[in-house]
Amino acid sequence: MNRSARSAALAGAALVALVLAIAASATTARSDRATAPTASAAVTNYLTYVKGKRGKANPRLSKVYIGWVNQQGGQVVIGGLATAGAQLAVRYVNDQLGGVGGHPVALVQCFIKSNEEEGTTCGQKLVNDKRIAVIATGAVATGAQSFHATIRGAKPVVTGVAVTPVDGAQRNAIVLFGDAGHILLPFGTYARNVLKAKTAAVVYPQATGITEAALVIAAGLRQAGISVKAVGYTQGQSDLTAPLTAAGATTADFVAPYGSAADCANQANALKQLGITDSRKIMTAPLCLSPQVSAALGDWPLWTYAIASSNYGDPTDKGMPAYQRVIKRYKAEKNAPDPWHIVAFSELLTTVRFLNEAAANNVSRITPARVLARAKVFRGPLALGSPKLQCGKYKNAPGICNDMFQAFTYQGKFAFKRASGWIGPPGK
Amino acid sequence: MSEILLFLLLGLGTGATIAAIAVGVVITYRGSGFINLAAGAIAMLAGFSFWALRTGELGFTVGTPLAVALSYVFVVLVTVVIELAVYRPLRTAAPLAKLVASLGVLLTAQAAMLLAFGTSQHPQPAIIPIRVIRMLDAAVPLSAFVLSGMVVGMTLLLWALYRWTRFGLATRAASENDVAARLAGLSPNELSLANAILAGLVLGTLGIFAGSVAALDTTTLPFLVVPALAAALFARLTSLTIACACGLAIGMAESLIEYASTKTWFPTSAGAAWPGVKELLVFALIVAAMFLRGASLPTRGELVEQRLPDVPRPKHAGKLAIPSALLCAIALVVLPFDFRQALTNSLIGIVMALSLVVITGFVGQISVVQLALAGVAGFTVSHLAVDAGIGFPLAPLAGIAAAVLLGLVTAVSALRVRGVALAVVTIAAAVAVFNFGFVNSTWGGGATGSPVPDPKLFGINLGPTASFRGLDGNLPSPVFGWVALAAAVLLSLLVISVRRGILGQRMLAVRSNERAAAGAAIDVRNVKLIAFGISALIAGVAGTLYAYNFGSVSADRFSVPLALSLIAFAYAGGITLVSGAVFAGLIAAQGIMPYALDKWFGLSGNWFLLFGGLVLIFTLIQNPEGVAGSFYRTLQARAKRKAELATSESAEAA
Repeated sequence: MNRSARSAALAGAALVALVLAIAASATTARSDRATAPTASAAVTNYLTYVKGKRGKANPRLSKVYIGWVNQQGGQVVIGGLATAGAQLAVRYVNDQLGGVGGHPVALVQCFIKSNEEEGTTCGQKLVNDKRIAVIATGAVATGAQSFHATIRGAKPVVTGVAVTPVDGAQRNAIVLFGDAGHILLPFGTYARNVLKAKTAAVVYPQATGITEAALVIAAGLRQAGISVKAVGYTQGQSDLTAPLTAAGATTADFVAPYGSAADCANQANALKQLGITDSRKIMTAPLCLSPQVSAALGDWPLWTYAIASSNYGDPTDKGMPAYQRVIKRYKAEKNAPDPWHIVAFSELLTTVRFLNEAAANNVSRITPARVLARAKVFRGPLALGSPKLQCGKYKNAPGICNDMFQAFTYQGKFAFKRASGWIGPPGK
Repeated sequence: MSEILLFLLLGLGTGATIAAIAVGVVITYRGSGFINLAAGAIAMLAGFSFWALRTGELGFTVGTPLAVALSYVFVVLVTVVIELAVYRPLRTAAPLAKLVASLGVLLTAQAAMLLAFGTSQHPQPAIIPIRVIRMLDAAVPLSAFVLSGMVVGMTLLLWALYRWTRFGLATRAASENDVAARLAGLSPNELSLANAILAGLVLGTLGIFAGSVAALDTTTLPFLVVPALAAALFARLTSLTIACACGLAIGMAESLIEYASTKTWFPTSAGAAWPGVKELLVFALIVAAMFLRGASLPTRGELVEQRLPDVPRPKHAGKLAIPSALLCAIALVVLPFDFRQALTNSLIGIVMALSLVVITGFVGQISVVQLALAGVAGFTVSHLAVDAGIGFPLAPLAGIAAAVLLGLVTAVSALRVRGVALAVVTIAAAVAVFNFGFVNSTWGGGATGSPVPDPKLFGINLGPTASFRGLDGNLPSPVFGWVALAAAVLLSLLVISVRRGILGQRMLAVRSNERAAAGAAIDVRNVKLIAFGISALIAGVAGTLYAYNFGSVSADRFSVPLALSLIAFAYAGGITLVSGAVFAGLIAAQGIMPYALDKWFGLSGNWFLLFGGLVLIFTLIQNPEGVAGSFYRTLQARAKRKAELATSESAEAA
């Protein structure tokens, strides 16, 4: 990490945090030194956000195409509703925000079902299509490597939340909401500042990407001066009482079960079996806030979630009403709370913003290089996301634009209680 | 000490699930003489049935007792249908055919549940209360004790049934000598059916009652069959009590490893405890079982000798290979880019399947580790390029060498093992290589992936991004397709020449009867080692081609379910023939046929999984020799009729 940039960010954030601390009466949680503003920086007007023109796009004009890749239709689906979120955003942009320079926007979709080969196929389909200047991706794990290896930097790839560390490592990537390797460091900040934790337990399935992310959580906790025991188990293992006990979860001040959505139900069952039920001290990523998990448990686990985007159930988020108006207009209430829907909606709006900027009132000017250049200098606030973006902050992950999250404690039946403002990695 | 005891107790729940599946595997083997890879899938089906009945997923809800009863009825019906429709028609087929058929059942069951109920895990209503018992200063789930008690109780009941009833005596008689049992008036078919139902009831019990221990989805229970096979092998697929005890012990040992992983002395990689140690333990246990309990599994005295399909001597290889290769080379240029990529995928699939033709088709060694060997080559290419700056051609050569080395290590364990027992050893080896090797951050896939630069020779790019882009001017370049084509043709010719030569004859002699081969002065050990070496070399080539094709190496490409699918489709294609490898390549992942089905008919993902499973079963029943074998037989019959007709006509003319 760039130390001077980080110091400047911390100083700026601390100043605003001071102001925010006075106003933060809605939350019982304490703000961190790295806390940044939320309400003041929220995106409330999508028209100005995308730099569009009010009204419908002109259907007689040529279309502006955006590539769209998601993993769905196979045995493993991570963010199935991401596609619905992206499609809703495109529909909204064409109906209300004037498309891109008056030209209608269209998605060229490619879905990865279950094979690494499909990443190559999707990469070729989208890189070969000369009409496409920018590609957006949903939740892609299988085929992510071959997809990026095929694109080879030829076109910018905009991602909401990156499921694998591969995305953020690409120079042509713009990961708007961050990835596990970066937005998990503030777990330490939360445990130290909010819970005053001294000990922590981390459990995770041993899988590429997940192990590394769990180690980031452990590293963040150690940076915050907390004693950590991290225990990995075989992916797919169902009885997790042994790894939880080995990690000392029954006595730890803070417990972080981490994994993909497929792991959440097992982790929740095991925690419940062991009587670990304090929802404030159990924290995980919002991967567990998926229909897959609520189907498995009847509801999402009553834990605290580190969310790098807005939260549908957060009444204090000033950015949410704009999204809710769109949802109401298009009768999309069923999908609206899904985090992947929210992230993909924001991601597509932001991509349209980059296209509008690159076009500068003339869509023939749109090129992959111009779109990438505009994306890299975008500093936020992000619609339904972080108040500020820092694309390029991490040298080994140039695509990562965010390393902050908000903590929300889930209380059941889609009700959340804010547990912290935007918090960043623990300071030294 | 108390901590060790605690973790032994915490492993009881997992141990009970492994033990129940192991008992199911042993019952099936005793009744039908094959290893049932679908045992965990049957438990999964019972679990889904109970869940659907209890939660109103079928449009109505029933109480727990009725749901339990109906789920048992369902699992018995499913077992009977599978037995009558799949396993009975294959009764006289080769053991590999039955093993592959059980894989077809596994794939079909998974796909059916995915399509019916989606990809989510489901909240299996727990019949066993979710409570903990405070002991040894910790909380131990009650379900672990109850479930393990149930499994032990069932095992003892079954033991008594087999020990003291006429049915048990008849089953043991049939399992020891099929012929003698028939002479004694016993019906092996009826015994097989009855035992299949018993196995179904054991597995059904697990599926219904494991809700508080195991997740209800399409992977958790089905893939617990791997550690269960280790337990079953320790029991020599015969003893129910040993299988049960070993299953419980494996669960407890895995729990102890989790405890050990928190200790400072436990080896780490990139800051995390070594992954895959549990899988390595299972592999070690299986190898130990083979050495301690005898090399071969008990076989049945059969009426018909069960052997692999014929291996006809290839004729006119050049005549076929040259025009086919030319046609393929032209197709790589003129086809649109998506079909060009699909054809390249198929060519790599052909190379991968060729490795199975040598090791399984020619020598009869059922090796599931071939895809893992390909992965070793792929990761070696990536690591050499990224970490040491070594590129083409040294990196692929080193990758292939690494694959051959690991192949030979596998061969050493195979020297005492053969047939389906080897299949079990190599399944465990593949699981261990995947979890211990590929998932490891240091020597497997790194956190940010494992990139592979294009192969370049004297400045000429031979990879998918080479400047020549075919008629449509798009990626991928036909140049890489030609490289894959050259590899497929050359390796096909190599395999054909092996089959035609003295080595091929020795391989077939070993496949037919190892003792007879040794009696004929054939060095069985050397033949096996050479066969493993050649097949590992071919797999290594496939691995390097995969790496260059994707421009990266991903652990997921070399997973065990894919390895099982590979062997299944290689068998369906015709595992003893080079033309069978070609069929297998055509249906490889994103190969020509799957891609065309997806593009033109939208058949992909879970529907393709269901389609694949059903086609696999149908092909095995209709053509136990595989598609290519059947095709070859038809051609031979036609040629014979033609020759006979010509002879009779010339006789008449004379």
